[in-house]
Amino acid sequence: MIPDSPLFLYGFLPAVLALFYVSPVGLRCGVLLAASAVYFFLADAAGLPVLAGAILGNYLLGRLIDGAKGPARQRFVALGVAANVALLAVYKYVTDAAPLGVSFFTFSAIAYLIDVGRGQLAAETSGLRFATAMAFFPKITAGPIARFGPLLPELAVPRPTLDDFREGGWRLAVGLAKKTLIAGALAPIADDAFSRSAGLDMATAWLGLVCYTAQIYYDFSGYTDMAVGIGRLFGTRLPENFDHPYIARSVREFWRRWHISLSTWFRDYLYIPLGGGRVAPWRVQCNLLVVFALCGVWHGATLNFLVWGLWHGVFLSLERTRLGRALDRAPAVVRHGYLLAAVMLGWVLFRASDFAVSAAYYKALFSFTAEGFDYAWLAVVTRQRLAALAAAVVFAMPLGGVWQAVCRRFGSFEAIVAAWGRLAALAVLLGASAMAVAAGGYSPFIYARF
Amino acid sequence: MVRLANILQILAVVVFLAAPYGLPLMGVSGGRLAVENRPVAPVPPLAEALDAPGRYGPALAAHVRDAAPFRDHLIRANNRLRLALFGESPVPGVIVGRDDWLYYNLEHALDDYLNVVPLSERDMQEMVRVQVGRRDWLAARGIAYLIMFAPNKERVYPEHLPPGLHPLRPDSRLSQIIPRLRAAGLDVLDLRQAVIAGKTAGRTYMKTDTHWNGYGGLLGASALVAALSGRFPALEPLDPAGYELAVTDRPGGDLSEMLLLPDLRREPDVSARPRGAALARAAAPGDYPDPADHPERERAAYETDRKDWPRAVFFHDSFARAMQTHAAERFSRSVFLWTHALVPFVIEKERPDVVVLEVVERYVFALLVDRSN
Repeated sequence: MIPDSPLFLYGFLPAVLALFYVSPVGLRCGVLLAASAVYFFLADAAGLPVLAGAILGNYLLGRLIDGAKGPARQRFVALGVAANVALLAVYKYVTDAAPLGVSFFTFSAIAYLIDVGRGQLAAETSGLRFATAMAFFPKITAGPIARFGPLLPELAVPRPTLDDFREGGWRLAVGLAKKTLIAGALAPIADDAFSRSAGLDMATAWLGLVCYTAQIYYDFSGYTDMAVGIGRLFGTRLPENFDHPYIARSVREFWRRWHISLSTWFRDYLYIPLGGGRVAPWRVQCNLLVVFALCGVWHGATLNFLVWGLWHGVFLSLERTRLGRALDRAPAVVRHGYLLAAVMLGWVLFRASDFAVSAAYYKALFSFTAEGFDYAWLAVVTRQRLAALAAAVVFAMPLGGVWQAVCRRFGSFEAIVAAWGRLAALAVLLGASAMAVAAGGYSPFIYARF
Repeated sequence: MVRLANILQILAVVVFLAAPYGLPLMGVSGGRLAVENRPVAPVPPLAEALDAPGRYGPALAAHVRDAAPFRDHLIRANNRLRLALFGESPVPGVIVGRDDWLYYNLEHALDDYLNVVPLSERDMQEMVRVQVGRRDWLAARGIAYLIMFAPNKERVYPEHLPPGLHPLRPDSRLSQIIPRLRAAGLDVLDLRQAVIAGKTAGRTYMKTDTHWNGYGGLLGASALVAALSGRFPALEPLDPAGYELAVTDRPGGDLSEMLLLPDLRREPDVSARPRGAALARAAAPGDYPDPADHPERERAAYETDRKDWPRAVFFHDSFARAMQTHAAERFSRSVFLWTHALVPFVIEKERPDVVVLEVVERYVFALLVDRSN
C-alpha cells in the first residue's frame, strides 16, 4: 500500500481518521499504533517482525541508557547505535528483503538513543507511545526522519484542532498533486531517456535529466507533504523536509533545503561529533567527504550512490576553499547555474541503474548531437508533459509571497480572498488528483480484439 | 466569510476521502465502465492474511484499485478534461489525430509507423526460414500458401495523424521483409496499395478503431482473390463494384473504448453489402478443436455451392474479421482460425487447396511463429 493508492486514500485513511476522532483522547495513541501496524502489514507484512523487534530493542535500550551512569551509559549508546546500524546494513546491503522504511526508522531510533544518552531527552517510559512514534504510519515509508523529542508529547495526547485538520488537508492535497500531476507526468520522459541503452542524443539526454530533476523533487517532496499533512490531521507535527531546494545558489545551501531531516541528522549525529567546522580545514573537508559518502550509501548499496554522495561531498569541500569564496562573490545567475549543474549531473548517478549506464548517460549529455531527438519529440514529449514541466519549474520557486501580495491588493478583503482562493485551489488539486489516481491504475488494452 | 471558506476547506477534504465509499452507502452508484479486457482483481479472502500475509496487502490494493466506486467515472472525467485542455490522448495506447481520428499506440504501433525499429538481419533470415518451411510442408501435400499483409491504419491514413508525425526513416519493416520473402519464392500479397487506392471510393478504416472497416476488408478480399486467380483459374474476380457502401452511426470503436468515451467519440461505420444475394453461408466448423486462445476469437467457417472454387484455410489476426465474409464469397469452403501458427491437424482435417496467413503490419513478428501441434 502506497499513500497515493486508492486503498490508502479511500479505505485506510478515512477509516483510521473516523476511528481516531470518535475515540477518547486517551485511546488515540493506541488507535494510531494499531493503524500503523495495519499499514505496515498491508505494505510489507514480512517486515513487520523486524519493525516490532526494532521497537522493542530500542525501547529497552533507551530505558537502559537512561538508567545508566558514566561510561556504562556511553557503552549502551554505542551498543544501540551499532545494533541499529547493523540492522540497517544487514537488511539493506546484505539481504534483498529490506523492511519498509528501515532506513528511516533506524535513523530515528539512533537519534533517539543518542539524545537520551546526551541527556537531551528522557527515555520514553510508555511502550505504547514509543512504539507509535517509531511506527507512525504517515512517516514510516519515506520519512521525514522525525526526532522523538517533539513527537512523543504530541502522540501522548493527540488533540487536533480544526486548524490542524484544515492545514493537514491542504498539505495532503498539495503533496498528492505533486506526486500524481507533476512527478507522475514527467516520469515517462525521464524513464525513456534513462532506459535507452544506445543511441541517446544530447538533447534527449538533457530533457530526460531536467525531467528527472523535477520528478525526484516533486515525488519526494510530494510524499513528505502528504506525510506532514496526514500527521497534522492527527494533531502531530512532523518536521519539514524541503524548502525549495532548486533555488539554492550553492551545494551547501542546497543541503539546507533538500531532505532536511536527513541532512540535519548527519549534521547533528555525525558531522558535529567528528569536529564539524571547528577543526583544521583539511579535516573539515575530510569530514564532509566521510559524511556525504555515508549519506550516499544510506540511499542504496551501489557504487552509484557512494559516488553520488562523494560528488556532493567534493562540492561542499570545494565551497570551503578559495574557489567557494570566489563563487560567493559571483553574480546570482552564475551561482544558481553552478548549483543546478552540480545537482543535476549528480542525479545521473542517482537515477542510473549502474555505473556503466551513468557513464553512457554522461557521454550522451556532452555528445553534441541531436540525432534521435526528433523521435523523442514525436513519441515521448506531449503537451501534457510539457505543461507538467512548466508547472514544475514555476512551483519550484517560493510563490507564497506572490500570493500574499496578490491578496493584499484586495485591501480589507485580503483575508477573504486568501481563504476562498485556497478553497478553490484545494478543490482543484483534490479533484485533479482524484482523477489522476484513478487513471493511474487504468491500463486499457484491446488484446481481445486481436 | 473567512470562517465559511475555512469550514468548506475541511469539508472538501472530508468529501474527497469519504465520498468513494460513502456515496454508495447512501445509494449513489458508481459502477464499472472501464474496458481493460481483464477481470477485476478479486477481494482476497481474509484467510490469506494468515496463510500468505505478504500477498494480502498487494491483493487488497489491487482489488480497490480496480473496484473503487466511481473509479471509471473519474477516469472518464479525466480523459474528457485532458482532451479538452490539451487536445491529446490521456491514454498512452491512443493517439488523437485530426478530424476526430484516433490511432493505436500500443505494441510499438507508433514506432512501427516511424520506422524506428527495423528488422534485424537475423530476424529476417529466421522469418524466411519459418515461412519457407511452411510453404514446403504444404506444397508436399499439394497445398498452395500465401502470406497477406494488412497495413496499419496510420500507413493508409497518415493525413489525419497529429501534425508533424511522419516516418523518421524511409523503410518500414514490411518494406524490408517483403522483398526477402519474395526472393525466397514465397507468394506475398501486400495490401497497402490496394487499400490506399480504394480510399477514393470510400473510407477504408474506422476513425475510432484500429481496424479497417467492412469496405477496407472487401478491398483486401478482392485483392486476395485476384492474387489467387493465377493458381486457381476457375476463381471469378471479387469486384468491389458489386457492393454498395452504407454508413451506420454506432458507438465508437476499440480506441474510443480505450478512452472510455465510445458514446462521445462515435463511429460512422462504413460497411459493404453485396448488391445481389450473398453466395457464402455459415457452415459447420471442422471436427477438431479451435486453436484460438481467447473466447472472443472463435473460428468461423463458410461454404458456397461452387465446388470448382478452392477450399481455403486462413490463419489470421483481428483484421480478418472485416474481410472474411467477403473473402468467403469465392471459396467452396473457407475456414478462419484466429492464430498465426500453422496448425497441422487442421490442415489434415480440412484438406484445403490453399492456406492463407493474414498478418497486420505491426504483427510482422508473427512470421516467426512456427507450427503448432
